[in-house]
Amino acid sequence: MIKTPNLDKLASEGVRFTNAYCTSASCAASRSVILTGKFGHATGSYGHTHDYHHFSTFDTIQSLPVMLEKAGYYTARIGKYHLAPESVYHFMEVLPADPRSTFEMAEKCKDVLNAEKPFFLYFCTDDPHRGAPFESDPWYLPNNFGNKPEGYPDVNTVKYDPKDVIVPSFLPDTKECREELAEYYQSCSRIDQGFGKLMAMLQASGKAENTIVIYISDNGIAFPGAKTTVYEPGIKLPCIIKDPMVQPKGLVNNALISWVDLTPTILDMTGVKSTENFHGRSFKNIIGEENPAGWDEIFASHTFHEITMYYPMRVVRSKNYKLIFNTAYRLEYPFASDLWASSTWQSIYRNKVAVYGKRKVQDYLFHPEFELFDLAADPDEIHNLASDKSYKAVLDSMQEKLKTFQRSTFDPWYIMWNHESVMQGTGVGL
Amino acid sequence: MKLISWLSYSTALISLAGCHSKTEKSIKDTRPNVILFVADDHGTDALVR
Repeated sequence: MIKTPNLDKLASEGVRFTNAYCTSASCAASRSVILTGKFGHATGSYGHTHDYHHFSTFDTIQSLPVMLEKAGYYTARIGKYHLAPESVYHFMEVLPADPRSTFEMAEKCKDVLNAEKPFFLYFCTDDPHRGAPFESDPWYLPNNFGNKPEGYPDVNTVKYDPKDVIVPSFLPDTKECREELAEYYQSCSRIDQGFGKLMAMLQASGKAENTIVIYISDNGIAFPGAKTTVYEPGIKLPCIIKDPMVQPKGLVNNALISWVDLTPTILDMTGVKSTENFHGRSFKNIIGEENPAGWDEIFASHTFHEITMYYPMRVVRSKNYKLIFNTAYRLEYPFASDLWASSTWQSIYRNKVAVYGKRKVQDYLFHPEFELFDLAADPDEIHNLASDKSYKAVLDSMQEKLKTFQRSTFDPWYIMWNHESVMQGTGVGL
Repeated sequence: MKLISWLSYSTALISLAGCHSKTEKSIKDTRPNVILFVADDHGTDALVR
């Protein structure tokens, strides 16, 4: 439905992953994982970096751009950053740009594409994030998702009719939601055109056959039920990789991979060695396979979005089941500012509608300590099986997996498994 | 005489260093380039299926 011919072309020339996951559906926290190969709970990257949120990655962490620079790569970034501190996420070149003006962004990368050294270009759009201000006036108007009446230089504005959009099952099929999805689609088409321009420039530089192109997102779509949640719409993301060395073209890869795997994979692709103990692993050698063995489980770890949004969740997701451990289940589920203000949510909240998509609003606002879903039978993650005795063996097994994951990745929230420990904190060695 | 010998020796060393530097420059670094393109809040619903 959304017109993204350039992304379609990338998929036809590369590999599209159908089970690619971020580990935290929150911008800054997710980006830290992308560039470190480590879960945010182990690096201090618990939530947003900007303004008073002020989360920051430990100074001792080595990031991907720093490791590549040390190995002789020319590193440059353009657009959204949302990482801290700069010393950890240092790039040799920072290209100034309006991160919504995707075509212009691409044009500014010309010197990078023609660099003498091998380059690492980190290209981050603001699209299709919701546009500021998040509150519409009146409330029922859609957010603009960065779209402007006058458009952007050299971008062909692609508009969509709300009646034509496809409403995913986790969203309410309302006028407000459809109007917002139409704006979101328009923003996605703008990304596509900037991406197309970048690819055309890469081709013109003569380096296309020696350049690996990776297209991903930081987290899911900015609607309640997706972004900031660990439900599938929040963490299951696009991932297309074109590696000119990999055959066949147009492949669909069903391996379960996550963003902790990206840094080890890129280092592997570039032949750069590292002594870091990554939480992820390289999937370089299975890119060209459809259903590679041993890639059937991912973990997620979300702690904060905004500073006031304390809601740590730990997740193990296998081929068939997903277990969510809501460590702060006694709290009401917090909304990101942009999601709360959305006309999609406000139409439900103001009109006291009891159901949002397929989920009861009450269930969205109050989560139990454990949520266990059979994803094959219940892809919308509505029927919690955690207290169903016939699934006790599955629950026990997945709880053990989560504990092992938390212990092995030095998760401070591991103490949440023992209520007495929670009361004591981590500093008491009783 | 000693000065001339020293100058010749130095010139030879500089020439060798120059050759070495030229040799280094002529070895092209063929490691792959990487473009990591990250969209903001882009869900799978918008992706080619």
